[in-house]
Amino acid sequence: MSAFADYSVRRHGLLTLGVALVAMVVLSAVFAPWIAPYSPYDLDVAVMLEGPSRAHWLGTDELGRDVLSRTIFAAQISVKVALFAVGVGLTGGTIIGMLAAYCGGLVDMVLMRLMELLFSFPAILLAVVLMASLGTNVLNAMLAIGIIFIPGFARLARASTLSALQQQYVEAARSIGMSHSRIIMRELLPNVVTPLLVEAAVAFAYAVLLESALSFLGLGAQPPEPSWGNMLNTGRGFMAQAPWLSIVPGSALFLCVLGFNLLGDGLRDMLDPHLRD
Amino acid sequence: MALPPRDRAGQTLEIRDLSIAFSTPRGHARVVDNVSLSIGAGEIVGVIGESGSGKTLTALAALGMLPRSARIESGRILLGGESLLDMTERERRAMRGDRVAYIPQDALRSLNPTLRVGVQVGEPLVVHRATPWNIAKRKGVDLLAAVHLRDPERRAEEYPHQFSGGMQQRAMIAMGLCLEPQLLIADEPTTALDVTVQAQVLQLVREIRREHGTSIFFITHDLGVVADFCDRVYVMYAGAIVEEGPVDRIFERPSHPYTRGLLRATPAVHGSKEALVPIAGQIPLATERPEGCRLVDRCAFAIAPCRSPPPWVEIEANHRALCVRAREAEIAA
Repeated sequence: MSAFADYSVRRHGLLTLGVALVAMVVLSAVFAPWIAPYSPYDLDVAVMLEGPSRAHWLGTDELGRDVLSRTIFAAQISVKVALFAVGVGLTGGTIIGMLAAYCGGLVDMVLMRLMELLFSFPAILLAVVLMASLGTNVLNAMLAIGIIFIPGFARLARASTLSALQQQYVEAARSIGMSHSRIIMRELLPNVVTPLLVEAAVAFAYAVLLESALSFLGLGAQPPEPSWGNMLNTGRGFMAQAPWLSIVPGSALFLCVLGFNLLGDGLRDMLDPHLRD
Repeated sequence: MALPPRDRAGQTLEIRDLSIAFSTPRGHARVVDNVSLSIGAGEIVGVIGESGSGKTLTALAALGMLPRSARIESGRILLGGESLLDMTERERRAMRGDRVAYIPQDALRSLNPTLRVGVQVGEPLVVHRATPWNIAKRKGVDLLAAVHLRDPERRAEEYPHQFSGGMQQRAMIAMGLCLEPQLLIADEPTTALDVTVQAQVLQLVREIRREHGTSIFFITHDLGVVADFCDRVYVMYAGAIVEEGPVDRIFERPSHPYTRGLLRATPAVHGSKEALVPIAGQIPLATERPEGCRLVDRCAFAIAPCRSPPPWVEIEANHRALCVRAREAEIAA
């Protein structure tokens, strides 16, 4: 009894922490213009590379810009890219996976081999290749990351759909004369959506990380637009003189990824009927 | 063996010489072999047989819902005189749920766990009549009331897992009744229920027949249910019908050794105190059926002519059996 209660408290505690971290990141992104003390672009050569002070809580960078403000504004890019990329991956993957499972046969074979082809490249390499051919800007970063996510969602959607197809309620739906599209939308989709949503929360964390990696490599957000990735890249050059340039965006990235992961785990536990009640 | 033609005018469902086969690694498997049966308006017809005897496939064929791997090799299926095998998939879809409804064995697994019961029960209206959802939902509540669910308003708002087994089966029947079909195909609808609930569900089906004149195709392996529920019965064994007739005549004078075996293996169908006698052996695989009569290897009465295809023998009016020795006293004793 006590062990169970303990477990449940720990689980909900972690979920709460995850929700809090995610809320912090999202709220920073949405309200950045109001909560950031300075503009992220204001140069002030008088205070270049200064450590934390009362005027600049988290110090300034090599051009005298406020690191706290830039970090807060960078959350906008991260959240925007992650939302869009996960949207692309979830939608594309769900459609492809469900179609493959529902049609079966040749359609299934072709679609899933295509997915495996995408899967066979390391994510970051694929992103770099896609960015190189699409051109470097934020929109293309979002697309590239979204495309990377498609195979994972497609596999999950296919597996869930296959198991839902075995269920008698699908046969019952056929027996009342439902069309294929209605069966997919009404009978299958609601029954495969739960694992996909959990996967989406985890993918969110990964999208934030990938966007930062691309920006770090100079392929995502372009300076002077702040992104945790390009801030880290800048900070790398001043590691000894001004460690806060790396520590601050690095910590923001860490807390954001942690938050989405805890949220994903918590959602999975909550939505898993075996762990419920 | 084809049945001699009879006057089948005005039958709700007529299946003639239907054969269904699968290709398996062990070879060609004819799982339904020359099955002919018919169901008249307002008639309750039982099809009885062990698992694997082909009764469910016959029912699925009547719905046009055979698995993709199954092939219909011969025969005709007529629904109210229309040939199902000549319909397009779209026409079959228009027919399913509207003119023919299917009630499966396991009601819980047949209800979508993510949708409220009331909406599901009224859904055929949306599918076939393009009715708006709120009206379909209303109809769902009415239908739940019609199958004697207490407090249908509240029940309609619940999810399937909140229902008991009997209530789920009632909900499935309610869904089947939605568009007042001419034919209800019920595949062992009471097998998963306990005896008292089973009796209530059967009572309900009987009521439906009385009120709407619905024909009922009732699949079961339970002789007791057949005895007090059906008008006529077909006995299936290893993919073929081996005896058919009015229920009382079949119980009075079972003529095929398999039917006799079934009766002797069932406790107290007509109150006899004879010891239960199981039928020796197993139902043969569709790929390994013996030559001639398919029961020959399990039959205590087998004689040499049983090694060639058995004839249909008329026992009495509307009662016949697929056995050379059907009339002989020692079998019908």
